[in-house]
Amino acid sequence: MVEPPLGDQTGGADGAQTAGQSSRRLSQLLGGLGRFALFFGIWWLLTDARADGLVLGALFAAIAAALPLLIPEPRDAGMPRALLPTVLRGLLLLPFFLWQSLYGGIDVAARAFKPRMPLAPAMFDYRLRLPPGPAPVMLASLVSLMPGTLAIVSGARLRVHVLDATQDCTDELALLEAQVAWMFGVALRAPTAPAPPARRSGPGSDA
Amino acid sequence: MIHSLSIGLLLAGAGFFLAGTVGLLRFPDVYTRLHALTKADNLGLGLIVLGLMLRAESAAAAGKLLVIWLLVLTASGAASQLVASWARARRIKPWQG
Repeated sequence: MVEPPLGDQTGGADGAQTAGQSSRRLSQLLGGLGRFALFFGIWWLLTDARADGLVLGALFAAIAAALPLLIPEPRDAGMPRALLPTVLRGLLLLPFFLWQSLYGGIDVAARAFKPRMPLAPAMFDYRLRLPPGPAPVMLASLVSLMPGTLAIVSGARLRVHVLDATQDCTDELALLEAQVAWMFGVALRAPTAPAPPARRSGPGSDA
Repeated sequence: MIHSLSIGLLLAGAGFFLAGTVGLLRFPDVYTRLHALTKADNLGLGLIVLGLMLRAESAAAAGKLLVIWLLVLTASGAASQLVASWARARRIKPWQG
């Protein structure tokens, strides 16, 4: 799973340095435990829960979980972003994602089988409110599973290809974006990209 | 009961794979074809994985199937983005009826 420490909050104000240190220690510890649980779980699955391999698996899971602690963090990296809360929040949102994915699959399958193939595709830019990092990538992957939308990430913009331009999907995109922001624990911000009007044209003049 | 549920899920999954392939053949351009592949095939694989999990011999085997689905989901999401942005870079225009 992804957890690059791309936080844009700069940690360590002058006064609160010691408090920042100890809470950083704690979150490092929690992050290490989370990674250990993840790696050990994968080992457990891949070995079909064989008992004689568990000790070896635990050893290597612990080594792999500790490795990131040895790598010096880049300055101004802020608090390392915790993986576990993101995974747990993702699990809470899972029923919604699964339902949307089911609906999306049925929608596109129906279009493929219908003799007249009802398609009215269009492409438009959606201005991202998510900060850069893993969150927009997650959003793009989810958008591609939602009914009728396909995402292409390009910088601060999210290019969306829709199968049926007669249905407006910007509200659904905004809802999904808010859910992804909650999942990663990041705040939405005003879009930074210069405001292009919501076009439904082709590639046209943009780069 | 579980057996017939499993068969139903497997058949439904195969149906979505068929739909994805029909879409790949019938849809007019690269973007619409990606729609068919990402959505229908992922759903088809998910249903097949679910059907197989009901027949799994152990919890670990069932979990392994689930991990396979998650990995394919991640990989196909990334692949569809790469194909779509390649097509954008080549200035391939979306089909517009």
